[in-house]
Amino acid sequence: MTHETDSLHDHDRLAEIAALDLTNTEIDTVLQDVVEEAAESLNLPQAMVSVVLDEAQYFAAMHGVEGWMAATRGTPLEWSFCQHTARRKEIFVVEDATADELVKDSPLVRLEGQRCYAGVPMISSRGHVLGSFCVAGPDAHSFSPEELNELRRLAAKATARLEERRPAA
Amino acid sequence: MAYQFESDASVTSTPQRTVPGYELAPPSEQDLIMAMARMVGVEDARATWTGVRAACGPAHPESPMTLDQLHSAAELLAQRPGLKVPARAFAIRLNSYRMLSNLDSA
Repeated sequence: MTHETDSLHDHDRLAEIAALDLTNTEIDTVLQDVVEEAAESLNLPQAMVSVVLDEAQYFAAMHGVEGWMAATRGTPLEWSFCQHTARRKEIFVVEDATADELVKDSPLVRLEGQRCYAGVPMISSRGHVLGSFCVAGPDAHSFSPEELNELRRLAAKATARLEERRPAA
Repeated sequence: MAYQFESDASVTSTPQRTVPGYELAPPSEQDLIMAMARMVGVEDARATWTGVRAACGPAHPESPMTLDQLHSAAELLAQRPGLKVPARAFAIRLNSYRMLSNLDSA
């Protein structure tokens, strides 16, 4: 586990995730149509809303995820592509993970066969990064500007739905 | 393929092998306390943990907790609004370890 100072450990960010109740399993139902639309629009097998927690990513909604990752609904944080999206607070694109310095050593690449990825940070109305709206697949893939714009659109749609869950002040 | 989390009586204070290739070790009691402390402060984390350990842990306070007991502790902590984020993260790491260990030994 990571113990060094890390922006992803920020108390207020984690409190925002808790306030929006993003670890509630009912979110999968709330966002299922959006992740399905993302996978279909970008013609990739996997689409997820990955909530970036302090030590793990949690798949609040997922499409096309199988095996142990579907059972655990997440992975350790240090393996995740979405940690980079969350830290950067900007879109993170990996066309070929085996050639990307940030992720090539991740077990998700070496052992699980993840090869391409595009993730858009999901940022709350209070400015906290909640996680990443992302697509992924087992083959190298070049993302067109149109595909990335569609991913941004769907990420905004998903984030808006999460904001609707915020308790009234 | 449907997966089930299998019970095991491993303890967290003794050295445990990592999952080959993944190099993933099981999360420890100390990891969870540190994560709790980030949310509620060290003193509150320790006080909370004392109660949770009494509820979920071994009868003897000095005995290490099994992975099953740690899982139960994380489930209990996930019910507390201020601690559900670190509790969920801990559970994902623990379940990942158990799943991958079972796959490796299958």
